[in-house]
Amino acid sequence: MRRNPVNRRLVILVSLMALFCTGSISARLAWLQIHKHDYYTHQALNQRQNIRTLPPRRGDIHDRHGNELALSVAAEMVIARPHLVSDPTGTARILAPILSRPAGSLEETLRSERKYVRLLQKATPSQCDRIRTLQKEGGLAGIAFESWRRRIYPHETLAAHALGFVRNDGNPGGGLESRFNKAIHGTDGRAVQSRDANKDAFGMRVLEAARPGHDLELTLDLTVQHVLEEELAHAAGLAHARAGSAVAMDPATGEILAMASWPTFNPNDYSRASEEARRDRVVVSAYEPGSTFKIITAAAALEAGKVRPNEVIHCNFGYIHITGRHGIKDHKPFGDLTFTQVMAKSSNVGAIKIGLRLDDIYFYDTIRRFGFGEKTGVRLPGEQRGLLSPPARWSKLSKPSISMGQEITVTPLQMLAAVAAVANDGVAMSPWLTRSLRDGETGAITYNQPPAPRRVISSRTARTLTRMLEEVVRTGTGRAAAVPGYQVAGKTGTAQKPDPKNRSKGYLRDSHIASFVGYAPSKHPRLAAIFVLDEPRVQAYHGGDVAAPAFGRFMARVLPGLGAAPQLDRNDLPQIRVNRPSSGGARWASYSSSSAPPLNYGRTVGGVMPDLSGRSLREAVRVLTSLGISPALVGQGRVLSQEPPAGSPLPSMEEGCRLWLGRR
Amino acid sequence: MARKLTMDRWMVGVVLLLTLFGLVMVYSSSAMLALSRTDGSTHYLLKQMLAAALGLGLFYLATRFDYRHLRHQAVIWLAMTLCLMLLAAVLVAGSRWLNLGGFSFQPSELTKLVLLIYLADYLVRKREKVRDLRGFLLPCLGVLLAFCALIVMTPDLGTTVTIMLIALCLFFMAGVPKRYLAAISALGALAVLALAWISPYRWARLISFLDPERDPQGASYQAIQSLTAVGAGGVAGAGLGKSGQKLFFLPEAHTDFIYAVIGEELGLIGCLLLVTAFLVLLWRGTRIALRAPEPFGTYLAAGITLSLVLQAFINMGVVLTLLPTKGLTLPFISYGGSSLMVSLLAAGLALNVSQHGT
Repeated sequence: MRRNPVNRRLVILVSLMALFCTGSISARLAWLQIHKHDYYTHQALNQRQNIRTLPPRRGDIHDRHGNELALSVAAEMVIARPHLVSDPTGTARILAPILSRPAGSLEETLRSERKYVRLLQKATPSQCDRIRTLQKEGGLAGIAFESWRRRIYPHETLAAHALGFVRNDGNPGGGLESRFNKAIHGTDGRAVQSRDANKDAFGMRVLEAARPGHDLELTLDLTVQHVLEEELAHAAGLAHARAGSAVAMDPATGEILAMASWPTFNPNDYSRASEEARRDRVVVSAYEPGSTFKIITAAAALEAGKVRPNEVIHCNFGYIHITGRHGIKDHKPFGDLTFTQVMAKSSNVGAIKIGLRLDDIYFYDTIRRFGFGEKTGVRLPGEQRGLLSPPARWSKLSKPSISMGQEITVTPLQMLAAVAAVANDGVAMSPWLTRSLRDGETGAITYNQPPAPRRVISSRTARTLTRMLEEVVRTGTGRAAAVPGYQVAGKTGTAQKPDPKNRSKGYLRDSHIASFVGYAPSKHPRLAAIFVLDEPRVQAYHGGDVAAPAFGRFMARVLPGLGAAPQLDRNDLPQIRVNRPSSGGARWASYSSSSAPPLNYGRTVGGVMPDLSGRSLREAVRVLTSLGISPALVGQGRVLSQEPPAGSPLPSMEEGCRLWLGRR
Repeated sequence: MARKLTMDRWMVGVVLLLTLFGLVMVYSSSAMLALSRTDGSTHYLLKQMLAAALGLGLFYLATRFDYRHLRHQAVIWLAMTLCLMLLAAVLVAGSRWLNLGGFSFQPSELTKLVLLIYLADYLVRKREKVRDLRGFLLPCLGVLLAFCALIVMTPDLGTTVTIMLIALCLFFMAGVPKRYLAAISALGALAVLALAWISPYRWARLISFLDPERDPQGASYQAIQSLTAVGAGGVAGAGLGKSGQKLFFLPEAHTDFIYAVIGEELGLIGCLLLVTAFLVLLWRGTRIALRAPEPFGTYLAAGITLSLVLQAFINMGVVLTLLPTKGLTLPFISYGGSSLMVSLLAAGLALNVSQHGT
């Protein structure tokens, strides 16, 4: 049969084909599957698997009463996979109004070559619902959702600088969010994510589960914080200041109850905030304190026994000659003043004369003991230590300058902490902000070690100094800081700003930093606070004009709520002028710690009495003081009735108001 | 001389095994696609099973008559196929598929078989004139070219090339002078180049075959994904059903590129076994041709065997990027009713020949 030529040729053909085809296919298979196996395995895994980090639940940040200041919520973003979008024009037209984006640019995005585009990071539930409804009707191919956790700050700008913010990518940007990021963030988990060619995830193998972050509890008090911010903004506005900052702390514990910088920003919308607005001036802005620093000079001199409060000091005619051609001018010729009056009237010459009595090393050591020249350790990022040269580098002008708060820079927090030590009977408590960390997994709470107390000056010196500082508020430059019902101690400061072009002892003529630092009630201080206003642009730019009133209003509004009962001396009332907050000024944050619903009288301001019936005395007094009204009280317990009645015009300072109390 | 013999059992066995294996691989490679497009994973499997059942019916019927009757019917079949092709080419211009009441049919597959029968008959009838250019070769080429032109219009260059290759093989067997064969090959190659030149997608395929690094996300995407699948399989493979490349990375995973999925899931061993199965088919088919009672049977069995095996090897060559992308199925294995049914029918005819010995 093979002799047949047709058959012979068939056999040749088949043999050749079998040999050639089998040979080349086998060789190719062996090359691909043996020699290049590892390479292609890698390629295949690469395109369908990637190691994914599993973001943990970020811890919340609470104030001291458990009010949430920062929390993370589940959110969704709208994404597109342009290569799966079948009808870019139609899809863009439908989506444009929902996403509030121009259809043109949206269509361009949907036509792009990319495989994955984020269309809207912060999609609202209603936006997502509308898109889902349209998708159920069979449209919008290639549009999908992805879940993420969004950081929200329910009180918006409140405590923005202390808190900082979290970027959309999950990384912190400043404040406690940055400083405590490791604890709050938790531990990332890891997983192998498998994907198909359409980038649809279909399988995930968790290698390591994510551990949730710690919840952070702060020493801040939501209410106090709110009032402090409001008064700072109000004062900065009135003074046309460039910037400002304020802090309030409990002198007995060092707990910071409120801290604020102005201008401020909304951490929910951090990308629109300028660098200036994000500056946490409380810890990063060191300034020459000016006259408030005379407290430290006085403390050193009293402690060293170099001066007595009633000692008469000759303050010349407003000029003191230091050395060579150098002298320092006072703001006016004071003549003879007691030391108490030197402080009350803030005489530079007087302060310098006292300062010059001190030994260099002793003066320097006292300043250091008060905490200047080093960080307070408050655990906020970017804290400055301030400038303070050691005596070895002092010139002839140094000691006199430092005595009146020049040639030294301090942060508002340092200044406050130092004065709080005076308030606390001479014992310094380092300021702190974070009370505890609560483990997000086990719920175990780790309390922050409160700072160790350090005695800075003797109890006697502290008491003497407090009486002198009371005089500042009673009769001196700080009269505007007075609070009806409370005795206030404090000191004003108005420092010229150094000329940035002429660093050697050159000051700008009309750029000032006005400040007030003090505490109340001065006998048993409940709260110490500082207000600093940078470059007030008004005729009356002194600390006593712009910062002291803010301090006074702030204290008047918060002290009653902190359990410091007012000691009302009715005879005092008519003499004390309290500037009532301007309309709209008195707004309260929701006050969750009280049992009754919060009094929302913010909109009734403009001259109408709030309805106080049924409120506790504490609440009623807080409300009234914040309106600048001092109530006369009849009886004990809760408010039964009031005069004038709710809804009637606010009474004037002299008329006052009357509350009848009782238990029912 | 017309002794009735039993069918070639090796051939029956290998055809049934290939069909069954095909169903398994179609399910493995199409389940995810079915899930993404329909409610269940078995959409493509069920359609392929139906085609397999119909195809096995044809397979059985094709063995139940004397194949020599086909000689007289060849021209009628050719005419009917021509009508089908015209329908496909003219009515449904630009589509390989002819929709017949819910089932689409690819007429070019059938055309291949019918042309084979016609050619086998023609070679026997004109066996005295094989050296005569005008009396033998040109009329036959005319018919072939006419059909090829219609198939190219559908457009299906792969099948056209296969038909021309089979025709060359049969001409070689018949003893057509080698210079003519060389001329036909050269002209054919030129024609293919010309067709590629005028069609952008064919040109892109050709360029990407020559230079796969040029456009890995575009024209070369399929080739790269195919190689990745085969290479990732290694010697033993990832295991049946465990291909990762079928998750939409590899286009046409269940049709033209099913061999790549086999490579990934069953590895070098599976790939070589499949090659062996087709070699068995080649061996038994050739044996049938050599033992056929008369020349028509020889040509018919040889033509059928060569077309099935050649198409299989071309398909594998494409998957392994030894050849540019063609659009040819892997007989018995790839998803596609027309291909499976016509392959089974053709195998049935070859077996028919085996029942008649000299």
